Amino acid sequence: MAWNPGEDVVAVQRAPKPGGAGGAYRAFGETLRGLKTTFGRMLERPVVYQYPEEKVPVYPRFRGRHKLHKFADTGLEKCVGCSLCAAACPADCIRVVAAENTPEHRVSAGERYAAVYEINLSRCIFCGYCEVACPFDAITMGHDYEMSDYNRTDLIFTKEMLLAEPLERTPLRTEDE
Amino acid sequence: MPRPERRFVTFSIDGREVSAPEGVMLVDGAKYGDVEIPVFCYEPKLGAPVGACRMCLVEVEGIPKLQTACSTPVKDGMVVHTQTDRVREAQNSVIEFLLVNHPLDCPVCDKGGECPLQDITFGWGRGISRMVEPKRHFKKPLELSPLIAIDRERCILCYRCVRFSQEVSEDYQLVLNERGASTYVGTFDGHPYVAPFSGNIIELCPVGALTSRAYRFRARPWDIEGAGSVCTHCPAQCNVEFTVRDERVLRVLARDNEGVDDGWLCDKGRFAYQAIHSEERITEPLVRDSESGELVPATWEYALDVAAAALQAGGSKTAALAGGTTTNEEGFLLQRVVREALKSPHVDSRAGLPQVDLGLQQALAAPGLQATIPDLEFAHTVLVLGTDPIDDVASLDLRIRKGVRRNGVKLAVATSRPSALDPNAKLWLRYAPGGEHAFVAALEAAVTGSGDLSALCDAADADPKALEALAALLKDGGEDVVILWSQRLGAAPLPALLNVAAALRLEGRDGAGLIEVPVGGNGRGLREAGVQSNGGPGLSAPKAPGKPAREIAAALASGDLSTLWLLHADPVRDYADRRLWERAAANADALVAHATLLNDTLREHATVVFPAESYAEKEGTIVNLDGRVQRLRVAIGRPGAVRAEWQVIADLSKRLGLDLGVLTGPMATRQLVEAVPFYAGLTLKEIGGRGVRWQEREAASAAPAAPAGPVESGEPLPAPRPNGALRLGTYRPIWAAPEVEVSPALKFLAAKQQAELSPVDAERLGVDNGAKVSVTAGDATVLAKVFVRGNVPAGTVFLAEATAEQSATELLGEAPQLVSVEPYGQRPPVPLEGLARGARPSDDEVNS
Amino acid sequence: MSEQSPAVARYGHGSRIPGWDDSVDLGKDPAPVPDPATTPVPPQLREQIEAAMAKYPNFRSAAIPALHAAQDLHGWCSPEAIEQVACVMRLTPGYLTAVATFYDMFETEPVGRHRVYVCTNISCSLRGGPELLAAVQQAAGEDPDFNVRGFECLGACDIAPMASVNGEFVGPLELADAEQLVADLREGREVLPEKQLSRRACADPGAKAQAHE
Repeated sequence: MAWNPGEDVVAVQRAPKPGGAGGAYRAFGETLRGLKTTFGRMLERPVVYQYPEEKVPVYPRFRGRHKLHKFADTGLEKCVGCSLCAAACPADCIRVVAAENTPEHRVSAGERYAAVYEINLSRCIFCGYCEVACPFDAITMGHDYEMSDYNRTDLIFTKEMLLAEPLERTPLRTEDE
Repeated sequence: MPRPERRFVTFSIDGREVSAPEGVMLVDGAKYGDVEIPVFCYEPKLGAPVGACRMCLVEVEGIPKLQTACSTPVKDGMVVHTQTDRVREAQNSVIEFLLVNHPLDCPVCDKGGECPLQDITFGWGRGISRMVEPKRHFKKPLELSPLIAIDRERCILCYRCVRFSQEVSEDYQLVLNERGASTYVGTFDGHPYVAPFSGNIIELCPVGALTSRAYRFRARPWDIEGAGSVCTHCPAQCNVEFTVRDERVLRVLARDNEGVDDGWLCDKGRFAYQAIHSEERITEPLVRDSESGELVPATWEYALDVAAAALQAGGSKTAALAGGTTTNEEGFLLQRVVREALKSPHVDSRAGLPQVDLGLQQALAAPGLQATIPDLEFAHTVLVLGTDPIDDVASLDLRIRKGVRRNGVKLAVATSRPSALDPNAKLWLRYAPGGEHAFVAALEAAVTGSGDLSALCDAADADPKALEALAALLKDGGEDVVILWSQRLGAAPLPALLNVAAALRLEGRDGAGLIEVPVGGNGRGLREAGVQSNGGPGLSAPKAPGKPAREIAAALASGDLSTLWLLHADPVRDYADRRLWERAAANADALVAHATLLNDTLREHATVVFPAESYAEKEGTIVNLDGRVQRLRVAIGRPGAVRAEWQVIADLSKRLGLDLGVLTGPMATRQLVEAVPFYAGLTLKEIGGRGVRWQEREAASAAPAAPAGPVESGEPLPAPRPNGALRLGTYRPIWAAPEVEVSPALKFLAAKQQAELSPVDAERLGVDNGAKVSVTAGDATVLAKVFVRGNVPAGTVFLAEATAEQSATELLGEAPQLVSVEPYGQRPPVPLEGLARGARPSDDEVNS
Repeated sequence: MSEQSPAVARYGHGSRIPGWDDSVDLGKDPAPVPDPATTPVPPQLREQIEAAMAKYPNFRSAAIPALHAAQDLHGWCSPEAIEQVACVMRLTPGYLTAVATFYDMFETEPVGRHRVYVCTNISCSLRGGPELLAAVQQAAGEDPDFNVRGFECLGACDIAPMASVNGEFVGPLELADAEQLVADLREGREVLPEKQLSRRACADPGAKAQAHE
């Protein structure tokens, strides 16, 4: 006796029979859609940036290489060597050795200043925690992302390098870009 | 005062039943229930709580107002709440109030990151402040002393530092001036707060108001690592924690060990770490160049070869001295090399002090006769005999003061020089320098009631009535008597001391006994490791007795010995009779030394100088004065070419034809433990971070038994009569040490020679305070500044030993001394007729 | 009150509290208990201090009378005076400095030898204490012999407004008495004898008849 499925029946939709225009469209339609994009782009000008002659502009909040700041009026360093950036750093790439300001040798505004301030940029993950931790806005993340070098030790940036005005090589993206 | 018994009471805190010892304050009691109550001013080490900061307010059921948990003792059935809204409101408000005038300059503050005020504000504070007005601003930082900077803006007036000064170190120099909102921490008339324990207030300060000048801005808590070890600057061997950054010790903190230091450090222990990184530190082997005659840097191989050749040439005519920071292992290996490879019996570590008969040593070191350091705090009576703890073993000074102040210990001080503990003592006695033997014999006579007390007192120039009072105090003041005596007493008084201990029945009594203050940081351990002329490892009899240090000097000077091997020892500076040692060093064929710093002797006479490890670089064991074996651990890497000392000794030994079988530091420890019967089975693991007293281990029964029966005391020589001249007494100030002189922070404290004179003598000599005098004995002269002290006994002048210049050891000969004191610059010093070293004028001369 | 006290910028010049801005003098030695051998003490002062010390179970309680004795002798609690007291009492000068700076009637700066304390507390203030203070201050002028200050309640409200002149209470005072008071002190006369508290019947029963005459 034949098995009776009862009400447990599934309707199966079958594809149309192959052949004809419908068949040709099914075979090449998607390919043509792709080719449309291909040929469409042929008419546009290339989008490759000719790095390093030409640089990708970055957003204003892009976190690039760090900068240390000075007060514009007094010329004193903003950094007081509190080491909070080093504490916040998850990659442990900041090293600060503080020293005391003297009347003859005043470097920062407070009692102490950073005698040594080093960031090991080969370890830095550019998370920006140092910037957040800094109570004096002495360190900020700049826009510079060109830091490759031939030597690892050259990637340890000292205070002088971080204080120096970076060569404005990185264009900033404008608002509408 | 015997230790109080601890009973437990049950109380409820935050709804849980907690059982805590009766009488403890709620803050401590709460910890038994894992409840933390924030505090600023409360610090049990400072004595009774003051309740000044109001941070610890809690709610106690049945009491309408909030109570300070730091000054409310737990009671049975008490119900305490620390988490109610009232309590939280109070805590928030106290924090807000404390921060009203706190500058919140945490980024530049040295305390930032390890600041209780930060932590408690974070944990219990409101997070915001309603204070919108500008804060008070003052000049800062100001100097409180060359070691400490004070920042009065940050001070929250918790009284901790002031209480330390007044109730712990009892120097009463740091006080709170003015009143109310104007109160500030200060001193009298702008005098600096310089005292032997001043550095502790830096560690006590719960905010950044008191900061260390030496550590100022050096590092942050997250930049550093803590390395626990032991301070080796004196026999107290306080437990310390080195703060290490980039392989440099930047700070020393106390590592509270109730059995050793009670959590305090002296300023030497706290700041002399700077000597480790001194510019003058030797970091490579130096060998004397035969052509130029100068010490020149050399390779290790060459230096070892030269040293081995020199020692080989010396052979049995070699003598070795150990001292300073030498560990037990190094001492043990040294004596093995000298005794086994060089076949010379001449090793010593006793800083030139007289040799003590081995049987007597064994009797004095009997485990049953030893008191512990905490016993000083709980004894009925403490007798300090012949030592001023502040100079010899600083942290015990605080321990004794604590016992007197808090537990009513009756303190008796018997010294020749006025002691810093005199004002705390129930009884203080003076005897003449040189009269130690007669004095202890007189004490024996007074305690046992036999012997001629008045004659002995006369010989010691002591007051018989005071001695009788002392004997009565020792006998009737309670059974627990602790006698703290100094190795400087010499050998002769020790039988009498033993008899006193026997008469007082101190042997075998818990909480009573003797404590010896050895000379040198590890004096006791070195003796137990066998570095002494008449004792091998474990106070055993050596195969052949050697010469003690003094005789070594004489033999070197006369040519009977040819080679001197110094392990951290500087006999010319530290030992008596400086000129004899100078001759000995000059006359020695070869001088091999292990040292961290060069001194004149080494510069002129050393054949080879090996760079030695500092105490922060060593591994090994040392023994403190009550027999606690403690472990030195490596905190920092060795600078330059410095090698481990055990390794240098082992390398030398190999070149001398003896394989010590030591390839690692712990192997040396193992050899030592096997050789010393009463250390048997001791492992580094067992010693751990707190050390272990060998007397409390089972192996202590293996300590050599002393010969039984009473010891014959011998006839004491009377102290010299002044007869127009003055008796010379000497002491070694805490600041007379090379590590103090090379530490930039401590340099200002380095001891300078001063002649302490009684007002009577000063007037007779016609000199004022601060005048310059020359002190002459025989043909040796020392220049000193006069320091007139009212409590110096007439007829005696006290000079400091081991100062960098003009040390009193110049004048010290074999016998107790008479010296003549002359105002300097007025007439040339003329040696008094008949006052040559040791000569005693007859009674007729005295009376005439 | 505001007329008398000079206007001080609140935080403008740092501290108004003496000592807050002072560093210690590192050239000085630390100040432990002075040594009797090098600290001469006038015998009379020593006697007074020792008598005071004998009065109390804890000798430290004598710090206040001892400092008063020294202040009477030296005019103020000079470092020298404090050292002398410290030497006799075997205390550190620091301990005594804390006491001397705490209490108002110890002078820690040199002052004139005539102490005139004019009460400006409630009772006296209601009856013109502040004005009286101003009048006395004006009468004394810049005379360095005078130490005129306003004072909190001296406990003689019944004779308000009053003043304590070298320890002698006088009152009730009129503004016109200020000149007389200063003049009496300058001349070395007894100050306003008829207004002295000690001449009142409550203090001296024999004075009653005199007052009525």
